[in-house]
Amino acid sequence: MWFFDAVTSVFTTYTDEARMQYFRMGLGVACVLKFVMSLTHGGWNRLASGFTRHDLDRRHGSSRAAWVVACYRPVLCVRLAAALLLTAGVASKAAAMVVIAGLLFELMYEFRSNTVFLALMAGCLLVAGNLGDGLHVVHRMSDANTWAQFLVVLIVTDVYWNSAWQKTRSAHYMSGLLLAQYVHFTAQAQRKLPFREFYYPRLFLRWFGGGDAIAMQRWRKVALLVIVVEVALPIALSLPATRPYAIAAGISMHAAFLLLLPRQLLGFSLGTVSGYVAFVA
Amino acid sequence: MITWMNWVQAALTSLLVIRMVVVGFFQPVRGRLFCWAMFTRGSYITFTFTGYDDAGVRKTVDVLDMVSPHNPGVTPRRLERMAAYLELSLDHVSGEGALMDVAGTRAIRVERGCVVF
Repeated sequence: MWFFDAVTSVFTTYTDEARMQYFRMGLGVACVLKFVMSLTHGGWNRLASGFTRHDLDRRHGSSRAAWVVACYRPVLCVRLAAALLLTAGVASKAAAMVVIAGLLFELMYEFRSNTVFLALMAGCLLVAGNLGDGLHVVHRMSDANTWAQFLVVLIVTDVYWNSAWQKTRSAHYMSGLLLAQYVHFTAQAQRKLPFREFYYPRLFLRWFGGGDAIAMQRWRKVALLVIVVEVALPIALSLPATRPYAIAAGISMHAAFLLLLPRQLLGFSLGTVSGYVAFVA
Repeated sequence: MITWMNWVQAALTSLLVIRMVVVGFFQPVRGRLFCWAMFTRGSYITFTFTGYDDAGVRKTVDVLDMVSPHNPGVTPRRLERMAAYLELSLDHVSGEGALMDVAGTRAIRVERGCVVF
């Protein structure tokens, strides 16, 4: 496991520079999708009026809130352009800085942990020595990206283990009740939503959508399985023998997350899965 | 060769790890109600709150809500703020019964049309 060597050598271990270049592209795509999503479903007019605007005034005061509203649309456009440049590998570090600024700006009107996560992941790009140019990937062993790559591994591991820890502390989640309730009411409400977001196959609803004790029992097993996978993933990704299975399990788990909460988790899921490349030296 | 920059990296990494452990370990488990809003620009539409009582029986409650599709989840505090914005007291919530227990934190019930925190 290269990252233990990285620690003992104070980040002078050699790693393949291509890893961070692939990660840059993956994270760029994740940010592009997140930013496009924020423009759709009425996002362009989000701060014009309504509760979000009211909440903004309450938290920041009217003059600061007015500044946030004035910057809102330009920031949405600029950060999307920056994410596209980041993906394409044009002025990558400058683009990453704008992406981070755009993500931090979002925290002013909506705080989400996955926005903080994407900002941290993008921050790893700032300390990388070689992010590559364009879509061309250079395979060269050096210590230019070692620290940045180590930080990506650290953050992905923290996300999984912290998530597992939080879940085990929640009686609501551990009992299966949370997921049973969530799927049940979402299935009921999905047709009433003004924008189409969810699609639950009939077989899935028959097994998991009942909102009753049987569905809860089934979701309890799923809830435990998710915790086991989250704990095991960073370890399994680190070991060459188990890595392919870990990648398959991780992608499957994130695909399942997307089924439950597509809008909010698309960027997060792609960003996390992109981080898998950093587990290889 | 190890340079002073490598030691700076090591120090910053240590700080990050400490913050991750401290924040992650002591982070409170927060409950979340389930609420979806029929959201149209500038108009408020009665909406259904779905919950479960202590016996596991499903209850639906109509709530005036204005959650955007970007933020469908509602915490108890957010519900309070929404009610304040609507210039309604939470007594205006219609329905009867008990809403779900939220993540083992605070039970939220609806009794005679009033949300009880």
